[in-house]
Amino acid sequence: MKLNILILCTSLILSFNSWADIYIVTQKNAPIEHISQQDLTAIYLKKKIYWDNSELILPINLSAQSPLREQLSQIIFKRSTRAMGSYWDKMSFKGISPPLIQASEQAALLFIQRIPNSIGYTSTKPDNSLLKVLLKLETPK
Amino acid sequence: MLLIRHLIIGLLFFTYAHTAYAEEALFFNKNKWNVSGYLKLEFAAANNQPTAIEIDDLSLFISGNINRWINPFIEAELYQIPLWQSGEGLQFDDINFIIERLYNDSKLTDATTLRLGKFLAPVSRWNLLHAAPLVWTTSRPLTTKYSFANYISGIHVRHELDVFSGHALEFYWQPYEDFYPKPRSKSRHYQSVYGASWILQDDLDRYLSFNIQHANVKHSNESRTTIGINGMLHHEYFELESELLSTWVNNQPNNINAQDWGGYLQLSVPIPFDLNIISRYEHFEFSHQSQAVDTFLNGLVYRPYSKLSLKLEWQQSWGSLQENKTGLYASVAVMF
Repeated sequence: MKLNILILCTSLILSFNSWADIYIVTQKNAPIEHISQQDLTAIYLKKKIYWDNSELILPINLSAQSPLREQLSQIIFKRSTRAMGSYWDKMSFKGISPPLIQASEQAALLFIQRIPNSIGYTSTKPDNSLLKVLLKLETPK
Repeated sequence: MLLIRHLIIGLLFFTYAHTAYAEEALFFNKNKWNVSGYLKLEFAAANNQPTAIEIDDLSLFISGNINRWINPFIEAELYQIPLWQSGEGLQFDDINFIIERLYNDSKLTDATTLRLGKFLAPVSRWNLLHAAPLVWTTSRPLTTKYSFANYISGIHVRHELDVFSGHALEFYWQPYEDFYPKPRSKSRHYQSVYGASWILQDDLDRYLSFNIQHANVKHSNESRTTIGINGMLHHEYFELESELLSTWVNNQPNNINAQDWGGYLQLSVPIPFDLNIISRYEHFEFSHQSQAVDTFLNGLVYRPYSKLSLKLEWQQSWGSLQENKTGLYASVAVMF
């Protein structure tokens, strides 16, 4: 019994510690060097849809089950991915589709690397000369 | 009618199956086309009316994000499809169709959007978000639909003043009559309409807008000038929403009062097990009736996730009973 409690506590501590920082990334030649958290929120709400050079922004999300997406949602929207569902239903009714979904961080990075004006996020700093980090969101540890 | 029955049953199964995939709508061609829709199955047991079950409505919308200039949107809807009525039994004998919206959006600048076509009038927030899965109740307040043009066929310009708060101005103009008007005798049809909306706040937690509309009624000298205010406040433990509206009615032969006016206040409170308690009070006065209608509604909504809701409500009305009939209402609403 004591062992079970110890394992549970250790798992909980590890799970809190496993909350990684989030790196906001885009293509190396994108017309932006840094992004504010407020701009990032507006982009992921599809309220801000153009870069400063008037090119359409293409935000990339991970699937609704992704813990990293949940973490990002809590930071920039102050609510869960699930709670954001009703927002996207309303937007969909208005003709605004939610950010495109990629199945994994690797798939998202590959997409951003290939598709101009896209923006996404990852839990590890990308070691790729075709990508650049616009913002590091530090999560409470 | 057999074909309609099979079509409806097929769509019900498709809707149920697709709803399981939560947020992801149907995307085609790298996010350029999005297909979505919703369905509402309604049960109504109003006083002095036969108990009935109907589909009202089954809607499909397709939006395209092609480039800065071409962003089409279409919403086609089947509505008021009776399925069963007390004393009559099963029914599949009627179906109504309407093009609810058909427009194209063009970005004139990063902050200004031009919309051409048929769209929802930005007079009432409920009118803009009237899809059954997006609202808390089966029945709709009179304030949100009765006294103004719900649809505009013409031109609409929206200018964003601040993308973060949602602060924006909107202007619209319908020079000629409605495109594909809803063929219902109770609905007023409009010859020409113009209006504006000032949205002060539109974010995840708050909404506030002021609206004005002038409309000329088709085949009459009647004109209607509406002013309204809409608000919503979302909190972790409740959601409060309200609309107030006044419509001055000119040249209506049977006028008793100078205006239609009314308002409602609605509170929703989440409770455990994905349930929500809904309570609403509405007062509405008509220009052509001496009696106002007061409606009190209490209900329960089961919403396990945003795309699916099961609603059960009791509506009690006093005064003029032409609208907002007292009774028990229930519905299942799904978005797919």
